[in-house]
Order: sequence, then C-alpha cells, then structure tokens
Amino acid sequence: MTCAIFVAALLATAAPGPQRDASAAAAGLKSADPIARTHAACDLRELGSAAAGSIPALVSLLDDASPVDSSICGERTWRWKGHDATTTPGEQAASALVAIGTPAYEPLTRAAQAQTWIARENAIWALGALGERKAVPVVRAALRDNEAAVRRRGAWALGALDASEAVAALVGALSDEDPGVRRQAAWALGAIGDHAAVDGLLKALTDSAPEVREQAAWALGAIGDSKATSGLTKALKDTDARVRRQAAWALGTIGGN
Amino acid sequence: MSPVTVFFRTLTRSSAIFFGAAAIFLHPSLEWRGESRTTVGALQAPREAAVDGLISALKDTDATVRREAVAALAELKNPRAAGPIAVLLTDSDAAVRATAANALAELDDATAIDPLMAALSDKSPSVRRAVVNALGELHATKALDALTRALKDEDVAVRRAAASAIAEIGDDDGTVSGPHPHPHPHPHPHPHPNPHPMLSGFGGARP
Repeated sequence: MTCAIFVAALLATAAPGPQRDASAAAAGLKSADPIARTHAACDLRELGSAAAGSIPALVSLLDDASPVDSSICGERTWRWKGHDATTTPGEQAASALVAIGTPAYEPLTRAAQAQTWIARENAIWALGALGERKAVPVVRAALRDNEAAVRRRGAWALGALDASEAVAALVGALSDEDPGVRRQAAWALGAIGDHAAVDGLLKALTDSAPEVREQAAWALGAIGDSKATSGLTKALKDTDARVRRQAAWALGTIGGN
Repeated sequence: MSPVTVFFRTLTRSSAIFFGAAAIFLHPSLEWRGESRTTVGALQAPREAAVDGLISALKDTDATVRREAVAALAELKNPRAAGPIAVLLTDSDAAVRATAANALAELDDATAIDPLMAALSDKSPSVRRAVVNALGELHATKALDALTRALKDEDVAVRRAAASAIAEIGDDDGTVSGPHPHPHPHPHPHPHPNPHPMLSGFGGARP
C-alpha cells in the first residue's frame, strides 16, 4: 500500500503536464529578475509548440536587452555570437518563438516593425531562423533599417532563407556604410550561390575592411563561377593574410569544379 | 578530250571546291568559329594566371596561406605545380609539409618520389604518414625498402600506412600477395575537407 502511494507520487513528480510547465514558465517571463526571465524563455523553448499560449508574452520580451550570463540556460543556450559569453532575455525569447514555429510567424512580422531596434533585431533573426519563405519581403526591408545591427541581421536572415529573389538587395548592401553589414551580405550571397552576385562580390574584394574582402573571397569560391578567377588571383597579393588564404581556397574550389 | 585537258579540268574544279569550302569555313560571318577560339583562350589565360599566383603564394609569410595555396594547386591539377610544392616538404610548418605530401600524390608526378623519400625522416608523425601514403599512391617501387623500414616506425599510424603503401605498390607488379592488411577506403586524407566553416556560419547562427 505505501509502496503504491510512493510509486504514484514518483510518477506525479517525474511527469508533470506540459500545461503546468508552460504556465509556470509564462509567469517567469514577467519576473523583475532578468535571470528569471531568461530562464523562463529557455524553459518555453524546450516545450516547443506547447508554449504557443505564451507568444504575446514572448513577443513583448523581444526588446529586453538586459545582459545575462549565457550559461544560465545550461547547454541549451543558443549563442548569439560564437564567442560571446552573454545573452539577453530578448534573444532567448526569440529562440523560444522559433521553437514554437508557424503560429509565431505573424506576431514576428509585426515585431519586425517595432519601435525599439533591439526588438526588430531579435524579430528579424527569428524570422530567418524560422525558415518561412514568405518572410523574405519583411526581412529584405530590414536592409534599409536605420540601425546597423538590424541590417546585419537582415542580411543574415536572407542568406538563411536562401532568398535568391533578394540577391539584388544584398548586392546593394555590399555598399553599406557598416562593414559588419557588408560582410554579412557577402556571406548571404555566397550561401545563396546565385551567379548574379559575382560582379558585386568582385568589387567587394577591394573593400576597405579586410573582413569584408575575406568573406567576399569565400562567397566567390562558394558560388564557383570561373569569372571570378582573375579577381581572386589579384587577392592572393592582399595585405591581409586571411584574405590571401581565403582567395587561395576559392581558386582551388573554382578550378576543381 | 585529251588526257591533259581532263587533268586540268579536274584540277580546276576540285580546287574550286577546295577554295569554296575554305571560304565558307574561314568566313568572318561564321561567328561560332572565332567565338569558340576566344572562349577557350579567355578561360585558359586567367586559369594559368591563377596557377602562377598560387605558386607565388607558396612563398607567403603566413603558413595558413601556404597551406591553402598547396591544396588549391592540388585541386587545379596543374603539372607545373609539382616542383614548387615539393620544396614545401621542408617547410617550417608541419601542416604545410603534410598538405604538400598529399598534394604531390594528387598531382601524380613521379618526379616527386625522390623529395618524398627524403621526407620519410620528418620529425612529425602526421607528415611521415602523409609521405608514406603519397609514396603508395605514386606506386613508388624504388621506395619499397624505405617503406619496409617505416613498418618499424615509432608511430602506429605511420606503420599502418606503410603496410598499406607496400601492399598498394606490390599489387602493381605482383610481388606481394594476399589481401591488403589495411584496405584504406579513404586513401587520401585531405587535411581540410571543409573550407573555413567559421566563415560560412559567421554572425547570426545561434545554435
């Protein structure tokens, strides 16, 4: 008899209903403590589509830029930048919305027009990660945002969405005033792999910023158009070793085709 | 008609056919001919310039540039590259030396055998293994004695590679029988199968 009660109690604690989890986490989203808010967003991401009821609360958290240690969600934390040790409740809310999936699409397109640029940045990232192709016009518009961080995320998202219809806009972004945007646009053009980008990328091989030239060399190799051979050969004499290395790689990739 | 007349008439008629055909083929309005010629030339010249540029890059001060240049020349399979790449078997950077050995196997040039045999005493085991693999792939019969000594190498990967190489060379002239002791399905371990993935994932990827 006691044994049966014990087993029942064990089952009750080991398998809590997803509904209970979701409401507990949703309450945490409104905590005054940024660490608790981040935790709540991470928990909701684990629930995936079961957290759909929390979409409005997650969307309103997108502009939350309080820096918190990225290890607080443990191994599950999605890192924003490769070596960055901090995250924000807004970033984790964005990844929870991606995990929810299609129901989050419409709210995210509205959040992409938000007043605060941090919310727009997180929303644009989420639209790229969500992978809904119909998001391309909204994401492409982000290339004209006033904030460079939003434009960077827009260029990334267009590459992630494999948006070949946005190649012209991305080639335009190769002339952005911000080198981070130019580099991200070069990456996206290489990821999309459209030959229409070759002329723009050849120009980017002479960009003033070495990281842009490096990324352009990579993109030209990824596209694999032999029209880029002469420009890449010149880049073998670049002042920056990273550019020379990437140009050598690209020439081998194009020639080996 | 006299035979002389027949001869001259045949000559003039067949010449007319010859000149007519020549006029058709050489006529400037036939663009395909000129175009195919310039297209081949236009593709060939930058490619040769790229090989020249990459051969110059083998002397780059940065080791990672030298390594990528070697790998690229192996992809381009240009025989002019074999000599300059063999020089890199004595590079100060071990990864460059190993990549050079791999590339020489790829280029399939027998002149690389002597410099490769000299590199069998490299201090880096990964380089020795690449050199042993290359000698096997080049079917370097003259290296059999040296490869037999490599069976006693202090590094197990080198010993395995030596056994494979000896079997590969032996299969050629039938001196060694029996199955491959180590039938390597991936005989040419290229050191960098993925080109700078950190660049392709740059920026927004958050996993």
